[in-house]
Amino acid sequence: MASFTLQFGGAAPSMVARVARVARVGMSGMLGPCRIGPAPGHGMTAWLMADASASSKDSTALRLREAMERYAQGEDAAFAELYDLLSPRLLAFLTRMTRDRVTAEDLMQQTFLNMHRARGRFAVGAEVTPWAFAIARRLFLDSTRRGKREVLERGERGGDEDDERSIFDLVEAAGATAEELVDAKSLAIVIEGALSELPEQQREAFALIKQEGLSVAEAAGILGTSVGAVKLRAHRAYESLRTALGKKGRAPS
Amino acid sequence: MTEKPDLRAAILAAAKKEPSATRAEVSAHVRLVLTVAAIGLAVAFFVLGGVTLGDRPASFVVHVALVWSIVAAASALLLLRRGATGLGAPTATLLGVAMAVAPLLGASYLGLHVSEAAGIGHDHVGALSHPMCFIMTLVFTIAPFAVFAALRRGVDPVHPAATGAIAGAASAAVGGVAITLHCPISSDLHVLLGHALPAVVMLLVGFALGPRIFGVRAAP
Repeated sequence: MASFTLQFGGAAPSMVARVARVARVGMSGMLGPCRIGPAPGHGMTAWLMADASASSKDSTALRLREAMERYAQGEDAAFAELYDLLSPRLLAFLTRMTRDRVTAEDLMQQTFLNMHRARGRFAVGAEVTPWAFAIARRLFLDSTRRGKREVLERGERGGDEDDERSIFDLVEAAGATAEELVDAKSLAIVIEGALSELPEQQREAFALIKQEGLSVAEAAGILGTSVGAVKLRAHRAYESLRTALGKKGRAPS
Repeated sequence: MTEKPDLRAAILAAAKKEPSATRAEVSAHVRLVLTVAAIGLAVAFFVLGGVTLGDRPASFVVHVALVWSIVAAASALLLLRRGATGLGAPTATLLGVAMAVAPLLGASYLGLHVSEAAGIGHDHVGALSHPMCFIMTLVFTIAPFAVFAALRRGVDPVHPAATGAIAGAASAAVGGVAITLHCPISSDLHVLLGHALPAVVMLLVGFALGPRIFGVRAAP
């Protein structure tokens, strides 16, 4: 079976990031190594961003807890620190959910305002990230229920165009051949298609664990279910993706 | 992914403009609600007649009240426990326990009645007694429900309806303890309808009100 590595230099835009993240699943996830694109030594700059180290994650979580604790106790300045630590991940998460930058920013604003309103009731010593993600998810679900689908659909079309431009620009900038470019693009489409066909529960579990980098326990808390159920959903999602990639000759090597 | 600097400024400004209670202020508010609720429950209990044993053995009444208190405490603990993620127990667990409260109250009463007070409570009970006790039990649930609402108001983004359901059921169990001490009727049917059934009603009320009371909501 062919071994591929999708490699780019510089920051990865959304589509490329998604491809990369799905690719990383194979390396750090349940099924062992998986690389996308031509094998190493085929002319593209080394890529595949490494997962944030465990110590870095712990350090961020600790800073978040400390900032939230100070904010809950009344230190207003800590809110800016919370914002700076959380907003990139929240915005990425919401943009992925809504596929519309404007809606994502609106929901992120509401998420932070909800955290602000509830600061005095935040449990001492609790993790901030799962709580923030759970609020963001709840607001997203509420907004879709309120009939904002048309906005999302408009955004989805726009997002695809952006993604297409980004991936072409990036691959071009990295000196990729046309063949590599088409290869990366078609793989991204396969992954996106497979993800969109997953049941909602599986997609959410997969997104929280594999794309957002949350722990299984955190994802379980956000989804209001047990750790075992989340593991099962993520595993099934991964199996579905693997099958979809396998059909296209892209199965993890 | 990076956001615009003006978005950051807008969010920080919006938060600055909207007052929010700090932990100390929330604690003071909860203490106040707890005090008022405790006084309210005590006043309601004694105004309605206080402890009345009737022909029930005192040990039987104490045992029923003790078992029902354990059910109330366990469900309240599950409601208030947040765990490492700060998001509480899974939805299915909350709903499962909430739905188990009324059957547990009923079954424990029947078991204790058979084992400790067999032969009493089989006299005819007036038809109005059931709804009267039903309403009194609901009155006794108001105070504990207010305390739970004060503790968890607007902080549950995951399962506010389930949180409401277990808050309702736990409150009804507290109300059940009060009515057990107060109502001298020991008929099984009366206790099931007048003392335990309110737990089902409060579960449904809590489930319906939960998203409004405990849930996270978008700004209007």
